[in-house]
Amino acid sequence: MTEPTYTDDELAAAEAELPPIDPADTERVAPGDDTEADEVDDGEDVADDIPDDIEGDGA
Amino acid sequence: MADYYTGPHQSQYAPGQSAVTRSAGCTWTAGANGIDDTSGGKRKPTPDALHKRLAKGEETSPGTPGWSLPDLEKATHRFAKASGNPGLTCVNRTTSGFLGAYGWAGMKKAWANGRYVVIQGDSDRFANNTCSGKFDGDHAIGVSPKSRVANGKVQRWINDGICPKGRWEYEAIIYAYAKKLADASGTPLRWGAFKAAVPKE
Repeated sequence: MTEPTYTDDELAAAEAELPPIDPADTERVAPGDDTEADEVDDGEDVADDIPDDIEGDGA
Repeated sequence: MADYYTGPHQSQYAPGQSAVTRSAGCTWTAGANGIDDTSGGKRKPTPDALHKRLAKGEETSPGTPGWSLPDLEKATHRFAKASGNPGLTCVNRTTSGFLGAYGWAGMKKAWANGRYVVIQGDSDRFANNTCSGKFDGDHAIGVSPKSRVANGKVQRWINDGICPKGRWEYEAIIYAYAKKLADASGTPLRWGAFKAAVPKE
């Protein structure tokens, strides 16, 4: 695995472009507060009912 | 200290993958890696297996290669239903955000809450000395909530489908990658995040 190599100037420039972040956005919310409703409308599946997997033992 | 589960990296160039996955499958390959991580290794679809969940005619832009994030959302939602695990849906959060946070703030919040994130961007931002540097153009990668500090700066573990293995990348570079495509296309940052958190090992 090759570590990414950037010049100090390249990294500094990239860091300078990062938007300011509210500390609240880096906090983990309480368990259960991050659940979401299922709102995806995906129509009729076109694949087999049982998903193909490799090595997994199911949900 | 327990860290987030990271599964074996899947490449879009893995043996047996179809020609369409090899040439244009970065988004669904990122989705396949995300399903593995989010399920804690219980589900490991190949990129081709995830791609089968959406017919070509159902894509938002069937005339162009690859998938959009709405395409990934639809396919992963179908996979999640078939698997009996709704958390394996990668929701398109380009405009909907995550828990009230949008754009980069939304991604940061998603990672803080253990979510695997898929980001579309311009891969010419990645260092040429990495496997990612072999391709410059519109691309998609998966970004784990797993992080570390290197050289005083935050890095995230990424699954880039054109790479043979997962690797570390600076957060600032990931932002630059996402921002370049967003600016070029006049859209917000294009990203999705899985509904469930990646478990810790």
